[in-house]
Amino acid sequence: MMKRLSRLHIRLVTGFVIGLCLVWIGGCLSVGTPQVDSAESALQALEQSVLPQLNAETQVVPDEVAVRYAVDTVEAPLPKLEDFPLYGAQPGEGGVYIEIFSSSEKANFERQNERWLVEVADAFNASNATVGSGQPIRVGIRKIASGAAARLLIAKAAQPVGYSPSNDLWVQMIKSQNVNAQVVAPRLVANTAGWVIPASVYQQLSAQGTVTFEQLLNAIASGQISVAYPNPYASSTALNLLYTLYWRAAGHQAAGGQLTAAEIASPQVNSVFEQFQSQVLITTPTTLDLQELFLRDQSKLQAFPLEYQNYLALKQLPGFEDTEFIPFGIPHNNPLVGFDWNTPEQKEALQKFSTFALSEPMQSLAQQQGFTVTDYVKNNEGPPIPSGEVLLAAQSNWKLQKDSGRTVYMTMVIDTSGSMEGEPLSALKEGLRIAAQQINPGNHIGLVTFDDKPVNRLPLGSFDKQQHQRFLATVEQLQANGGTAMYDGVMVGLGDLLKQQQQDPNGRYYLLLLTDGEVNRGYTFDAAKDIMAYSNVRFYPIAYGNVNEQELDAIASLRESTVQVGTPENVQDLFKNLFQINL
Amino acid sequence: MKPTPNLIRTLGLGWLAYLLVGFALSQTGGGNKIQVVIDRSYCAPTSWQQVADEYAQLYRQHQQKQLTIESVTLVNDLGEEILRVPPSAEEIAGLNTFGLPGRDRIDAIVQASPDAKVLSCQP
Repeated sequence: MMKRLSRLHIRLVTGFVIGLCLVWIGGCLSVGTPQVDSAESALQALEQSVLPQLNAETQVVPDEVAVRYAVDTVEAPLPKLEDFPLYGAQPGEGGVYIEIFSSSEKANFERQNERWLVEVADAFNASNATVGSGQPIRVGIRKIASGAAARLLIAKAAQPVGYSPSNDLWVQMIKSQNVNAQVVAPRLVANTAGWVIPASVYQQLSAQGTVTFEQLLNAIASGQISVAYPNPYASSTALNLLYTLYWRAAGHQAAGGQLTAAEIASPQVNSVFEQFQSQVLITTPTTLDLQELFLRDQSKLQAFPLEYQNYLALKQLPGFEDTEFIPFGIPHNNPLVGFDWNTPEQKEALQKFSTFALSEPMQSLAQQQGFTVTDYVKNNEGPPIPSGEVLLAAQSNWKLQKDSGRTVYMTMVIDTSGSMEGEPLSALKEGLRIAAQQINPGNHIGLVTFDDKPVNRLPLGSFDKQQHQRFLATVEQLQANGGTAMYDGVMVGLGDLLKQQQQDPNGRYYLLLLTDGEVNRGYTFDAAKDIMAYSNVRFYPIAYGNVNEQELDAIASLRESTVQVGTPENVQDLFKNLFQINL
Repeated sequence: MKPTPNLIRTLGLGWLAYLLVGFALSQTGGGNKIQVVIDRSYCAPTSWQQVADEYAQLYRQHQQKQLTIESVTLVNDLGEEILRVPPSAEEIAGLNTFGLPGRDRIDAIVQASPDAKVLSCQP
């Protein structure tokens, strides 16, 4: 019996020891990270568990090399005209050909309710209208965003016969830059800019009466409502919003006076802008991003600007039914202007086209596509149209003051795996080089690349001439090779940002992540997600190829962001936009 | 000894009077009641300190029941925000000021409540 007992003991003890060993081995083999449930524990996990395990390298371009790079000769190329689709008649069809640059909401042939001007052109071309000499008139409509068209006109890189932006602000901008535009039709179709807000927020505000722009502005500036809006360098609605905010802050609503550039810079007006900006969740590249963010979480984003025509369509969609629209600013009149380079026959043709577009059947078609004269427009409630100089001053002030005195820290985490070889990488490099012009001095940038392993290429540093040179030199030397250890790269990028957060908790922290493929090395999303979630860093993912969309969407959703789709053709604009609004 | 109806009546009336006086005191409590109007139009930080100090004094008196701040209204030319619970002196000291003065709004409030105390850094 004693023998049996001791055999039993031995078996029990042996089993226990084997079990312990297995648990210990399992723990050692685990690629996971310690429990993360706060920003502090995220940094701790990064520094103590994650980063020591990564095979990260540091390859920094020496300053003696970087100093050779010139920072003031990088000019942003103009958009290429051929990138913007041309509908209706094509050049070379004979007769008097007129091409009109038109904003997207009335020249988007792909969408049924956004192609009014194209349909008008088709109808006009079918009518075989002629000029006085008997030659037929042929009309082409080029869909091009108002801001992009303005850039081409100001640079004299294009000479269309007509230009129809969303609103008169762009006409004023080009006039201020010596483009002599003559009004052919002050309004082709009516539209209105306004805020979209949840009905519940509207009800709270309406306790004091009808909700006006002024009331909403006060609620925003007082910290009651958070907002988002698109890039005021590119969006007609955002530019209108910016102008209207400054105009109202300057107190011109009583007498309807003109805003001046000096007033924009005054402490009284700037203080309103600063307060407003403190409530801005994000400035997005496009209005579509705003809609996605609004749907995602209305407790975080309570108001965003939109044109009324878009709003009518949006209200039909789930999630937007319970919203209200608060108009602001100058009407979006979609004017039509001609130029002094037009020949007399082109001028005549443009005038005839304008008359046709304003005819009752064409205006009825416009109404069907959501272009309506709202009460706000009928009552002439908006501010006066400002000069181009004031608008340029408004944009400049926005760029300088948009961060309300907070420093922005952005680390770019860039895929340099083998599949990036060739055009993808060279377009990306060119895009980064050009976009760097958009970075405000004093903000901080860094750059990490990843292929088989993460490489720290440019430590986070204040963007002065030296950091700019280092950035250009670093970008120049990027090469493609190897696999895709994306999350390893993200962890290295986050390490720099979280360390900086300890020193400047008031800063804004961003990580731009560009990848062209799926992760095949190192950390996985599941292993990294808690650190990312608790980092207080906003991620800007760019899908630059065949990526795991679900994962990138999940990364963007951690904080108020959306995935941007990049291609070698658009990556330059993408970077420029992102740097312009964030850095 | 059994309480007589007279005794009960006297005691009851006495308690009732006591309760009524107590209630009246609680309503009149801290002496004067005032409405405070704070001009939150843009003010340089050094000038705002003066406004904050004035409010701090009023708030101390409110806490010591020497007066009662019924409400605090923050005003500029964009609008008004009425705070039914008086903010602390620190909250007012840390308030962000913005925009132009709302003189018309302040005048309207003072017209409706002549005893309103207006605090402003504007001349």
